[in-house]
Amino acid sequence: MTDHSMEPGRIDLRAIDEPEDALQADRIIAAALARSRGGPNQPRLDALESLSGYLRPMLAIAASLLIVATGTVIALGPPEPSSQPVAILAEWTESQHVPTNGELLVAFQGYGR
Amino acid sequence: MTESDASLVARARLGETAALETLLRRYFRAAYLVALARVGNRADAEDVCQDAFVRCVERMQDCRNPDSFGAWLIEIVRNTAHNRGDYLRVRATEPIASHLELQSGMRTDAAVERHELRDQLVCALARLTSSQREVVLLHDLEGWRHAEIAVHLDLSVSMSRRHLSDGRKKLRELLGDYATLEPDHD
Repeated sequence: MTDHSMEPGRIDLRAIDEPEDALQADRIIAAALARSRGGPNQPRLDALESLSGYLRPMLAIAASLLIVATGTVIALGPPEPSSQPVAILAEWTESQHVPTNGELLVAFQGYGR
Repeated sequence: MTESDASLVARARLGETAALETLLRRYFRAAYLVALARVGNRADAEDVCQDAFVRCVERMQDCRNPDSFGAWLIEIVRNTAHNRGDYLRVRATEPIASHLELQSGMRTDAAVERHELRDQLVCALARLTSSQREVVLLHDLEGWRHAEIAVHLDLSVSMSRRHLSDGRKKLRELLGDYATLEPDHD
C-alpha cells in the first residue's frame, strides 16, 4: 500500500494542453452531432426518403394497371390478323402462296416504294 | 440547479439535441484527457473524442445506467482509443502549434521553453501505465477528486490514489528539474 502521507505533490501539467483552445469542445461536439445525424448528406437523404415514399404507391399503381391490362388482353383473345405488310408476307409464306404483282402493290402501298 | 445525467439521458433519448449537447459538454474534458492519456497527442485525442461521441449518440439506448453516463462515455472513449491502435506514441512530426509559431516568426524564448517542457511532459507521461496517465491527467490537470475519478474510471478510491501516487513519483523521477510542483488540493 502506498504511503500517501509521503505522496509527492502535484506536477504542473498545463503545458501538455497548450495553447488552450477555447473552441475545442464546440468544434468536436458539433462535428460529432453532425456526423451522427448524417452530416452534410442529411438533406439528400431526406430527399431520397421522400422520393422513395412517393415511388412505392406509384409502383403499386403501375403493378395494378399491368395486372388489369394483362387480364384484358387475355379476355379479348388473340389479335386479329394484321393488315401490315409483314403480317401479309407471313400469311403468304405459311400458305405457300405466290403473290401476284397486284397483290404486292396493294400490300406495300403506302410505303412509297 | 444542475440537471442530473439520468434526466438529460432520458431527454436525449427522446431526440432532444440540447440535452445531448449538455451531456457531451459536461464530460468533454474528461473524455478528451482520457483520450489524450491513451493516444498521446492532441490531434488523435480530438479524433478519438469525436468518434466516441458519434458512437455514444448512436448507442444512447444502450446506456443501462443513465446515472453513470459519464463512466459509460469514458468507457466508449477508451475502447475507441484502443481500436485506433495508437497507444501513446510520440509523433516524429512537430505539433501543429509549433509550426504556426515558426511560420509567423513568433517563436520566442518563452515559446521554446514551453515546447521543451511540453515535450518532456509528453515523453514522461508515455512511460506511465495508461491507468496512471488517466488518473494523473484527470487529477492534476483537470482538478478532479479521487471520488469522481473512481466513479468515472470504474476504480476504487484507494486504487485511484495509488495510481496518482505511483504516477507522480515516476514523473518526478523522469522530469527532474522540469517537474514544477503545485500545492495539492485533495
